[in-house]
Amino acid sequence: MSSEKISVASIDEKQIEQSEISIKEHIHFKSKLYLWLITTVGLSFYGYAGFFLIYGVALLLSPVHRVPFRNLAIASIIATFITIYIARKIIIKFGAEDLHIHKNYLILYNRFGRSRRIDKDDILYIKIEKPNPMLEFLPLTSPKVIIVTYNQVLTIKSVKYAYKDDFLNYFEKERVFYTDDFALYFHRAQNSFARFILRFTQDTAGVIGLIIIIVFSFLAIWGAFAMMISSTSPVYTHTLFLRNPEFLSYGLGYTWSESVLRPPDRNFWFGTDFVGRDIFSRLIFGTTFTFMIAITGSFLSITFILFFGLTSAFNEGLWDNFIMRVSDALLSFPPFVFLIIFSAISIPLRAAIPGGFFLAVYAGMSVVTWPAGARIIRSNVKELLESEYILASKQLGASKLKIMKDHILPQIIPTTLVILTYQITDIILGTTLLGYIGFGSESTLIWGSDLSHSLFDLEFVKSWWTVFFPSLFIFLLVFGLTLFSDSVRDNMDPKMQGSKNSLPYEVRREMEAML
Amino acid sequence: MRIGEFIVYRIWALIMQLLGAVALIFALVEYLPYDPTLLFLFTFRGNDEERTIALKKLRHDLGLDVPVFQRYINFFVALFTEGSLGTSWSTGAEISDMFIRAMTYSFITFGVAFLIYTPLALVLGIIAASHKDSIFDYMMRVLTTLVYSVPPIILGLWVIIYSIESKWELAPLSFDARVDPFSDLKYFFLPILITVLIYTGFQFRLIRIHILDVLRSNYIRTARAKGLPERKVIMKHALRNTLPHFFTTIAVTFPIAFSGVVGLEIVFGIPGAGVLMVNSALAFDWPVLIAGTAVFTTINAIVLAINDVIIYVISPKQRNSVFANKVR
Repeated sequence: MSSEKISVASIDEKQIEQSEISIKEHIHFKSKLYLWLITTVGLSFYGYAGFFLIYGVALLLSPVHRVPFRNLAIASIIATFITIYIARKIIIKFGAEDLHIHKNYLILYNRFGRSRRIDKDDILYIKIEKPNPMLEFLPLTSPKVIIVTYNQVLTIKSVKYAYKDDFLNYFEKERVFYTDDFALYFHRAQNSFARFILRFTQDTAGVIGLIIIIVFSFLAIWGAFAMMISSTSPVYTHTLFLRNPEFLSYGLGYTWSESVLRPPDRNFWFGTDFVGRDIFSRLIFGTTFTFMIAITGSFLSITFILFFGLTSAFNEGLWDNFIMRVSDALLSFPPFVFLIIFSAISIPLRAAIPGGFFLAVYAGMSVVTWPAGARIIRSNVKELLESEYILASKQLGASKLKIMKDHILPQIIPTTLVILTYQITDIILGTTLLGYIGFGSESTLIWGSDLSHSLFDLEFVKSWWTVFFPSLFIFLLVFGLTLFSDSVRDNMDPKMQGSKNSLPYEVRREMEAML
Repeated sequence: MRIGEFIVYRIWALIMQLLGAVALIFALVEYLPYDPTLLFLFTFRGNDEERTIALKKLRHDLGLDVPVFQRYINFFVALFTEGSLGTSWSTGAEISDMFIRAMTYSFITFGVAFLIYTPLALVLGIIAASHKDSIFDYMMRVLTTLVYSVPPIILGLWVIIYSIESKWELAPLSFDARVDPFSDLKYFFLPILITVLIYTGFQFRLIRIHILDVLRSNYIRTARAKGLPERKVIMKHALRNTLPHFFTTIAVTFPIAFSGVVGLEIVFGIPGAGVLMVNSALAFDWPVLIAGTAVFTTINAIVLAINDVIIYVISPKQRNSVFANKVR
């Protein structure tokens, strides 16, 4: 590493003040459109939060005592907190920052978040990345200023004009700069996740998978909003272009024989099923339920996986041994046995709460299916713990918790992401199977149940739409998740491409694919 | 650890796994928040006194009036002295007979499929790995990803619809469980075909990755550098080192020969072992569920144990780990 020192001995107070003024002029300027956009998005999320809160409280206090109502109320109050969190994150992460330069320090003012003060002495390196000159005329493009200090890398977007010379004029007079190599080393070391994102975006298959997942999550949000707004009266209702999924279209000017098993047309986009319910609406509501179950279940199981994986890697000896023996015992079970046992014992929940049966099953499954994932996390962390920079931070006296927070967790994010997508895929396939078998109920619209309903009609070969659309939905979502997780696994580390680390999980997954 | 000690240790671990598994199921079923016997008496007509008497009689008949621990011990005593797994609550039949019957169906379908897809995947995997990034490799990867993301139920449904449309007469609506399964063997063709399709994909992916992993190592580069033909490098040097992985992948999928692929069994109406478990779950038939857990866990654990012993013999590198599915 070559280091070159630049220092200026003589300091002229007046000169500094002058340069300060000139920098102020240039730098705390914002791209107004960008600022406006982000503020609008952030504030609108606060608006959603308010809506959720009012809606939830109103539902809780409403005199209608229906179980779905109470659940929706609880769900929307939870959604309030989530949206507030998202709004804060958006504004803090992407919101424009004012950079004010004072004599001995810089201050980054954020619109809604914290303001950050950086001592001038801490700054190692300042890099200004100009936007593509071809795009300079766009109001959204603005140069990025990257400030590298001893312990963090700050990226300031939305600076309208920034000139490297101004910064250098200002700083050179006061302190010693290291050359680019050292600072860039810091920059790269701390941005491995950014590099992973960069590599991921160049993989077409992965991006296609991600797009499919995003489209489906929009469908799920659509269904959720429609569920909240729709009235519970048995009168036929339109809500957000969706029809009441449990309502028969008989009586809407159609005779019985006209409303049953209608092929897709302008009114019923995906046709109707054997009793005349709109398949499209059922599938959209099914997406909402599937996402609800998959996200809750996978987050539960990832919690167990991370807890057992991390603790067994950090505490060698008795605890590690105990966890490994328990996981050996759990791995000797065929996975479908667990699935069937948990569904057998949670049958009484079928009619009680919409989706409650599946949530109970996957809460149970998360307690017993952690070993495969926990072993991968454990081996990854053990490998990381032997690396030199963690040894160095141990020598400097960092606690276990600090090492885990600063060094281990950022490194295992991609692995966790892969495990999470595998879990979600498993849950979707599992709910499909259980719904098909008949564990689902009428209050939970699961794609698998729709698939099995299609067979109620003996002429199901002729009414192709009752089989085609549910299976298309299932196939597309699982396909997108598979593409995404494959791409993430291949891109998170070039060494990991089909290496031994990812194998036990694949083997385990193969067992679970028995479903 | 010598080979004798290893086998003894592995058998001990196997017995502990079986005991633990059955204990887990007994505990789960016993400490449920609801009582299935109340559900069985749901349609009972009579006053409270008669109801209490009937409940008591029912619990006595089902053997639920003894403590759990006693039942747990009785289960193993009956298993090892009489070879019986108890009787079913819903049909009253001997559970071991039910499982033998169901597993015959499962084995005809999935055992045969296992015999087909294992060598097929092996050959395809070796070809694809030795011609990495060729057209064949690319096509196989795309195909396996596609097959990977279609659930067996949907594939089965579409194949049934297609076969009905084209009048193959290969898809029955359901098997007659009273008739000898060997009498209508042609109905097993479609489920076997789909199982082969799906599991070839899974096995292929694993085997290809394993071989590529070995081909990246230094001694393969040395073998190539000294001028060995590529064929010899792969057949002699690379394959020998992937043998333990082959055995593991085979051991992991082998139990489906007995337990069956539940989705396919249901779609094709095969009265196999998976369907038996599902039906007993829907009918709150705890004895069948407990016996099924014991049976499938034992089969799974025995296969994994045999696999561990084989790996112990053929691979000195992995002798320190007792369990094959251990990472590092």
